[in-house]
Amino acid sequence: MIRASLAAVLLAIPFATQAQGLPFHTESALTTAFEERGLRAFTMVGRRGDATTVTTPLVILPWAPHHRVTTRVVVPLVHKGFETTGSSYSQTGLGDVALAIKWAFHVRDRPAGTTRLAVVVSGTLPTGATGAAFENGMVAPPQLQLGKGTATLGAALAGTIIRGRWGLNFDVGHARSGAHGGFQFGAATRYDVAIGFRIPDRVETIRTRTVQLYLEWNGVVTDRSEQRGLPVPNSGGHVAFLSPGVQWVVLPQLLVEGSIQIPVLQTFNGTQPSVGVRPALGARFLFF
Amino acid sequence: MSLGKKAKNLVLGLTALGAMTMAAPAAAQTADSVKNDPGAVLPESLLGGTTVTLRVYGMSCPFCAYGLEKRLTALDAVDSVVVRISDGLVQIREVEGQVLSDEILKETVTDAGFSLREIVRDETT
Repeated sequence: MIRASLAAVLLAIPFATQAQGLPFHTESALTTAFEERGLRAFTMVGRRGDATTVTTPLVILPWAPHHRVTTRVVVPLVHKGFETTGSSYSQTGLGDVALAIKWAFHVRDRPAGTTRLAVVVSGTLPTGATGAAFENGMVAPPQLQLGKGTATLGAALAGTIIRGRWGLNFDVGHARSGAHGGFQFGAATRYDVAIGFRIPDRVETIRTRTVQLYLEWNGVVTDRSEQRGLPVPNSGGHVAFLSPGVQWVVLPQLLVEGSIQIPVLQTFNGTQPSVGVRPALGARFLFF
Repeated sequence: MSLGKKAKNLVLGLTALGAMTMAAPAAAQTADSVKNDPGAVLPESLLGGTTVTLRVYGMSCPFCAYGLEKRLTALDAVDSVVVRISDGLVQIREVEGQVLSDEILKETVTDAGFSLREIVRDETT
């Protein structure tokens, strides 16, 4: 059970399932094309010690009421589990559905480039199950549940600078969640930077197939969680990943992408095992 | 492409070059706008209707420009659209007898998320 609790704490660092910028993990300030009306789906696998988390979010961009405003719904399929000698746990199902709205408040276009800044307000609904139990009947800790059991609210500032074949995206955001069953996840502050490079340099028409290479830095600083008003010692910390990724624009309305997050900074509160590499694969489709 | 079609395009291209050098001030403006981009005026413009060339800022990738092409193609007065991303140009051939107003063009480009900087009309019929 100690190992189970430890694994539960490890899973407290959330996946960036709301990151829907053009880079794989970093938010962008774009409100055009794949950020406007379309679908995105990807699968990301993460491991920490004996614990495994697999998230498969379906991202729906249903409505763009203005050329500077887009909306987003994220429906995540989540698997959480771990296995040790004599003990195992596995849960699969719907996670907490996320909603977001992005407003590009600053747009300065130029030939073959743009500079944009946007605000993203997002939140999650408590749609994921919270009553999963171990084999012995004991209810699993909140971090091992598919949902948080409470709503989350967050805001982020995102920026995009594109000059020809080079692109820079960045974001910084903060999210807080309510309490459920006496447990409250620590507030999370994330920051991301992504440098993009397009092949080839010249793009003659929209039918030209291109490849985008990305190198991202994805960091998240998480406060300690609280259990009945008291901080959980082995929770929270600072984790950062270096994330190379590649996107292939197969058609103007279809993009396939892959990324691998390599942990390069892990500063945890208390005793927590290290984070492993996170591979991810996905695709985006423009349906308008 | 067949030899016959190549020859036809060559003739159309040469005719277009001639039309650009002798046409009215509007066409001269087009020639100035695209002087660094000889391919910007398409031979198809001679097949009927008017070619409208838009200089659009903010197009930085194929999928970014896809939305603009879709929106322009959906307009009744538009016969065909060619987006030249690296040059920041969008060429539209109007349906014969119909005219795209500057207001509609600006609204369409803006709705697609880009900035319209210049409209050049090339009357070649």
